[in-house]
Amino acid sequence: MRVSPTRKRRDAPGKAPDHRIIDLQRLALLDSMAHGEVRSIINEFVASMSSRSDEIEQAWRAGDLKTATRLVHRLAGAAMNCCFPGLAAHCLRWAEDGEADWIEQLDLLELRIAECREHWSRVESDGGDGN
Amino acid sequence: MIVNARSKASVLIVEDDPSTADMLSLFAAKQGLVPEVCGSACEARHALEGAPDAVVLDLSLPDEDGLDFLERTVRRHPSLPVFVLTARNNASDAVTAIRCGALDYFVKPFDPMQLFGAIRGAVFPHGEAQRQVYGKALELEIEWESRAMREAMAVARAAAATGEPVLLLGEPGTGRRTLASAIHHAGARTALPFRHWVASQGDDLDSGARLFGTEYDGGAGRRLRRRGLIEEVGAGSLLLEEIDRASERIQLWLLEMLESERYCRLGGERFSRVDSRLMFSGTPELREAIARGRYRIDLFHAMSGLLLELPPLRERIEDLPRLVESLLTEIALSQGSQRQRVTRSFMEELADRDWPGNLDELRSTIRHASAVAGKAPISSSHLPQQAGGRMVTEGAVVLADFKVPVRMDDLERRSLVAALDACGGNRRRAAKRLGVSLRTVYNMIDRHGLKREGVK
Repeated sequence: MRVSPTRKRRDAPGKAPDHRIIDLQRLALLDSMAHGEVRSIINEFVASMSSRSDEIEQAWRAGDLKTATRLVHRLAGAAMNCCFPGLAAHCLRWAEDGEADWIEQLDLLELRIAECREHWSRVESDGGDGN
Repeated sequence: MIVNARSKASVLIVEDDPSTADMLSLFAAKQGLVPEVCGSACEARHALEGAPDAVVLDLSLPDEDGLDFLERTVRRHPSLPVFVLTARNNASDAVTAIRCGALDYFVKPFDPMQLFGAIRGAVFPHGEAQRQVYGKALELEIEWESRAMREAMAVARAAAATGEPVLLLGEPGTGRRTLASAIHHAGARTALPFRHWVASQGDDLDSGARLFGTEYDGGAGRRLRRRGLIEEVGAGSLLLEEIDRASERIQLWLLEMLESERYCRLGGERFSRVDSRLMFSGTPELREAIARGRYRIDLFHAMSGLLLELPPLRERIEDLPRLVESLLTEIALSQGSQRQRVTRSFMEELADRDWPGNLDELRSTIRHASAVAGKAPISSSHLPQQAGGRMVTEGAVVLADFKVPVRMDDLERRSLVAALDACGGNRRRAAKRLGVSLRTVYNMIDRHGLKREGVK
């Protein structure tokens, strides 16, 4: 998505977030450019999800809210690029909500991660619709 | 920046997330670029010594604010194209990044073709022009706090998408020309010229000649020809300013041109098609001139295919923080220094002013205060004394309206109502205007029963 004079209106700020678990269109686009390498990066990302969640929790428990928020934001960015828009939307909303209930959000994050893992393994195993 | 055709261009990726960094490196390599990844601002500063050809910067860094890093990098390496990449799809961040010197701004998930296509384009010499064009067009993407400006921006965005004539009405200094330029640059004609011309300067023949061109018999069968602005601009955009002060004859010529979409050089016989996108700007007094029969209403309608009314600064005080921030960024970039901080009292004092000179006055006030403050935070004591002088006519109580002798009670009530009216019901500003405390204003409102009468 590019903010430029030729940008299409559908990309305007404030557009509704994408809640799909896996963005198969983007995956197909990335696959078409570098199939094996892209899948390997996404596999690594999926494998790192739990440790990312732990890292966020540790920062929050240590009272370092700034770092914790940055890590949530970072996870959102990575999830977007790795074709997980639903997880990204959850993290973005969380990072930008100054009054978020962190315990609740961490629990939700675990659920989202489990969902992403399951759908990704399905996409990887049979190439079917992860959503 | 021009890359040697025999060598590969290098791109420095400043991104602390390993998955995103891996993906950026992968596609940079696929596009024939040599990627180098840094996970922090500190590492990136060292890597910049290796003179990369372009930088992709994530705004969220572990050790430094991404915008501060951007500002510093652009200052130290002015010709280095920097592309900002962020997870937040926020137009104001995009504008700030462009103002800080980024060449372009991309929102995650990035499209590899677009991002690296732009990077490849930037290592050729068109980078600077591209930076300027995006900067201008992005003015339309700013999400202002004030409702009036948000409405104006919605019309401006619609104007950018069409070729209809646009009439921009606003007091002097409200940024009409800047907005017209943004409309031009955000539209399909961005690569074509944008020119502006004051419609009320010179006499009618001079104006007509400058606008339409001339063609006269030079004797001995020769024709003397001169091109006008409409021809020079071609399919670009032409902004005719101070249109409310155009003479009757110019009004008639403009009306004929708008209705027929054709024009003829003065003294000429051949009509040509108008290819230019025409924009007009004037003051809100145009409406009054029409009401008094001094201005052609048919021309008003012909000019206002889209009518865009820019509010004066005093009616968009909510936008002051963003405007001040943007002016301070401009100053910091032009001086190669850190952006100065401002105190709360400074912002309050700015909000209390009437700003008859609008954005021009704000700009000169901020420049003055910034220079006087030096390295200290800018406070109200750094403001120029006379800048933004209060309007004395609006809301003043005219004693002639009273039957003498005047009751003090009555005088107080009338003064209070006038001050509140002039300040749009804002009690704090009314208190300033009356030279009393806020508490006194509340007491006066109670005493005169104005609350019950619906004073805001």
